[in-house]
Amino acid sequence: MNQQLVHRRTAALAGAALLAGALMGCGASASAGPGGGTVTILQSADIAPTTFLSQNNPNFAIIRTVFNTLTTYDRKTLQPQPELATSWQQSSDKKSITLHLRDGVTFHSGREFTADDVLFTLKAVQRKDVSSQLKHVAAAITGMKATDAHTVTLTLQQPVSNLFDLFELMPIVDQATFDDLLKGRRFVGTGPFTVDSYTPGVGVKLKKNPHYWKTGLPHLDGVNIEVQSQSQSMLSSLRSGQSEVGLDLAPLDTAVLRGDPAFRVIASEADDATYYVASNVKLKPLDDVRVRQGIAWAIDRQRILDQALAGIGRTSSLPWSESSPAFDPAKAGTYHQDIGKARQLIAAAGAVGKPVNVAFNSGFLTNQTIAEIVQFGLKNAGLDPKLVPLQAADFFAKLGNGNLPGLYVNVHGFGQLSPATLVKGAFPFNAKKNASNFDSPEYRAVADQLWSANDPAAYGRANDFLLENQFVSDLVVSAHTFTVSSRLKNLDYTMYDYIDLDDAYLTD
Amino acid sequence: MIRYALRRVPSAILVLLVASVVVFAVPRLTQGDAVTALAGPDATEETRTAIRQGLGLDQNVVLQYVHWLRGLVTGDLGTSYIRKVPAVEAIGTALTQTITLTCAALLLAVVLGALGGVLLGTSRRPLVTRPVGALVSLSFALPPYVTGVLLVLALAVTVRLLPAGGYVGFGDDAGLAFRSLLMPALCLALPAVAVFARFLGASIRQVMDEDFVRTGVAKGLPRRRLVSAHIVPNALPPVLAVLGIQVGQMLGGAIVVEAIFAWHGIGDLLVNSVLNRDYVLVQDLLLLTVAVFVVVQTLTDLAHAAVDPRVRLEA
Amino acid sequence: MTAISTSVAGVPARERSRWARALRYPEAVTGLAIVVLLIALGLLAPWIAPYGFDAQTADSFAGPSASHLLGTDELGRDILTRVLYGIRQDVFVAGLAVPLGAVVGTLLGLLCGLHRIVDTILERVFDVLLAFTALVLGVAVSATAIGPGMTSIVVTVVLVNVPLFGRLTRTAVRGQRTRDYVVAAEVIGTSRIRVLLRHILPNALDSLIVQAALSLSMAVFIEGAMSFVGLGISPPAPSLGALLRTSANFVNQSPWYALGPIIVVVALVLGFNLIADGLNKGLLRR
Repeated sequence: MNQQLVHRRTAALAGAALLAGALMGCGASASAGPGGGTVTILQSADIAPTTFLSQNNPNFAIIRTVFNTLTTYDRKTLQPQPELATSWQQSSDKKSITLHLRDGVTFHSGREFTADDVLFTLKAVQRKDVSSQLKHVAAAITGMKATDAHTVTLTLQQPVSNLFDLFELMPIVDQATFDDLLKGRRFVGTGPFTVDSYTPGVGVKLKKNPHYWKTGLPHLDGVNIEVQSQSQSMLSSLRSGQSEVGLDLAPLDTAVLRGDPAFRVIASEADDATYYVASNVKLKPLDDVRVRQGIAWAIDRQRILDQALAGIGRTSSLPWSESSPAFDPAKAGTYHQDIGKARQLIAAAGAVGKPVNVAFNSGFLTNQTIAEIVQFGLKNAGLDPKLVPLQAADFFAKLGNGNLPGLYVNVHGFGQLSPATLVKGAFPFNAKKNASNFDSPEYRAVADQLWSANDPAAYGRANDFLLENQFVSDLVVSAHTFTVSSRLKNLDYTMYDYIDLDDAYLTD
Repeated sequence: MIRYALRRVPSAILVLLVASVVVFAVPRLTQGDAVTALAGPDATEETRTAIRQGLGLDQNVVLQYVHWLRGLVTGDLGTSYIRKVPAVEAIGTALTQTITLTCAALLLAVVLGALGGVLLGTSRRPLVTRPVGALVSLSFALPPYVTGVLLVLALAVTVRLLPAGGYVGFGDDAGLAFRSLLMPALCLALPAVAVFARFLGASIRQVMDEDFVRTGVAKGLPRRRLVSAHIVPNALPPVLAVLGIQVGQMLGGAIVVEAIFAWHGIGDLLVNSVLNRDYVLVQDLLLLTVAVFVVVQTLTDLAHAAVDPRVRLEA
Repeated sequence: MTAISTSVAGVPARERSRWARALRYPEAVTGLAIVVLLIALGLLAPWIAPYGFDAQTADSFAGPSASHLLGTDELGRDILTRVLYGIRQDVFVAGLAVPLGAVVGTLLGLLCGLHRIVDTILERVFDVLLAFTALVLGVAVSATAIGPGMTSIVVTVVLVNVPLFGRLTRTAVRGQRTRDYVVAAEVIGTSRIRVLLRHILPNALDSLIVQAALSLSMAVFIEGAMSFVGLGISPPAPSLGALLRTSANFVNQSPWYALGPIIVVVALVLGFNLIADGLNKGLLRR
């Protein structure tokens, strides 16, 4: 379903771009290239400046519009492409890398971008009070040196497979204003737009950066990022023509627009919104692996895909996106609903009729719908499930300290890049400490093996381990979505779903 | 009178003090703190602890309370944990929107309510009273989250008559500001319309039974003049008493209406602050609502005492 | 004044005829009929509902049909069944919380008549409670050890009603205290508590009953508002407020979804209001 969506989109885009290009040639606008205009992007939560150095959904619209990263993955080949770094050489033992930086790039403040800024940003990721899923990579960088103003050499404690994941996740920040950035007072980057004004809780107004290092870009005059907490209000705003992009509308709301020529619903092929149900393995009966496997057999994944996610994504027992090197189509289909098997396993563990809590973040209707489907499956499989809605702050606090009261329904990312980033950085899977309180020497070994090199044998071992232990049962690999008015052309995005408007323009 | 005031005012201050303890404690009773929102997803325990220390959330609770109270006295409402701006600033921005919304809704409610009330109170024709009565009941029975959604679907999506949402300042674009205001105000006003119409209708019917109205009828005063010059003015006072309560109700209703129409007023600020555990803003906002209520109460009591000596003596 | 003779003579004998008179108003009868019918449907839900309230199927957002009179919801559950169970849930919430809040509020209101200091303190307590909107109270209550869910909603509805009934009673007490019959009773040495319970309370009762009818409809609203911020009754058990809220989310996908819950809530609120109107005419206006 998702792939279809994406491919149709790519074709349409290419066609539209050609057509638009032809039309523009006729002098629709006096200036070179497509005309300007201001695009309004709607998102459900305010930007979160304290988390700019990690992947956090509310920042999808601002990171790649105000900042740039060192490299960016090609979404098709997954090869890193030059951005602020123009080229790089890795040593043969993979323990050092030299990056050559782009010349003539200036920050919005007018200061020139140099090697020092890269070192500063890397050190910021290492800071204790700054969060990032790729801290473990930054921490592995034992030496960093600016050999000249535009060359950086990094030495690593050990070879790591996900170095470029860090380079893409990390927007290069301005050292002179970083403290103000964390407080949301000043946003100084090198990106195509500058921050004109920011009203916390309300939104951000961006305007074109006339000195952007990609000459002639961006086309747009400005971008407004607005906070609209209700998906339905976003839908209404889009349909009434007040805005052009809706970020992560409720999946069922995107379904309303399917077939509407005025909109495209782009499901990001990063496929990094994976819905799962996981167990706090400290609690009975979830400490028994048979119960966890029984639960994995009890859930109707197809109905979750259809009814909660409007068909965006695909059912899967593995956390990876299809593009991930660790993805294995045969193993991804391991678990599907089989109530008989589920009952058998649960009965064998002596858990029939045992109460089980199913916690979820009540601020998120999709999670509630999934939790209800999970609950119904568990009931049919002989358990006595009870749904426990928790407010977001409560849910995530309990997730963070491993105190969730049983099973929990949630969504994770990081299935799209180096498999190591998932088992090292995504909290549900973190081998060192995770929300499930699942700890095993073997799992730590699997994680370290994944981290040290891209080794197909390690992928197989990791998949088998995850499928067997089921402390996290993946249900549906879905995607973040951009609902885009067909007036807006050339919207692009990165593998972390950061919106890229370098080439975007509006038509009438 | 001064002696009455001297007794009344300290009790109001005491209420505020008690309330300040309550509003300080309530957000802290909830699970999770602002660190969750600040640290983002997948943060490690180490990062959380560092952020918590940075905010001073690991400090003694009593100290935090004293610090807050001392700030309040000097006019410093503190700084938002999440938004990193002074609470005064955040509340000020939000207040503009909520005041605009509530005033417009109140105006609509009074106008529509008066219309409905006069019709209900003066007309004896069932062809008039039945449908009006039904409409009034319906507007009372439908919660704003239903009327809001239906209004948007009808007037913004199906017919693109009005903006689907968003606040526009009157200083920026008066025409658009007015159009953006219509639906949210109506949505917020509807329950109040019903209350006003009902109270006014009942009050009018009561007044119509009074001697001076009968005298007016006997004297042959035209009906329209009788209603507008004699009946309605006399029926109004009890309705005005309801007004105060309705304003309070509207501030509550604003939470829902602001969410549907994507306004960023006090309701939105409160809900967000509660959900993000932005204690400073929650405390300030709750205390603000209590303070407004207590001040209004105290002033009405004092006014009451000024005109009615018995109140003074009794107290 | 009739009020005095009624009360001094003792309530029961004439009270019945006044109630009967209230029932003569068509509003009251219609309202009562609607409410009784809905409550009966709710209470009988487990026996008359065509499906289980959490029976999910693959057939979501189906329109009304012979097998699903009100269609199905996002998980393919029968909406009629869920509405019936929703009524049941709300009948429990309102039926438990409103009387509880009314009794506590009324008692506190009466206490105001006992002593000036008690009066001052309680009046301030009412002020503080009234100053918080229902939703804020709900958040606060769910934050405590009770946690979100049915109990929180009941406690919230109680807390919302206490000051309403408290103030109403307090006003009545203050209004009656200088009346001749109260003064007379005090002169002949009747204890204050006795005066409050035997003489003042019966006189305040009428307006309290009208308030109770209004409070019942308010309870449905509060329950809905709490599910709006995710503090409602835990799924999969349905409640009217939660159904209304969820259906509003899916108005674009399935307009039918909202229809059933809206009709029932409107009917219920309307019913209570009609009863309040009828009582108003029959009891308050003599």
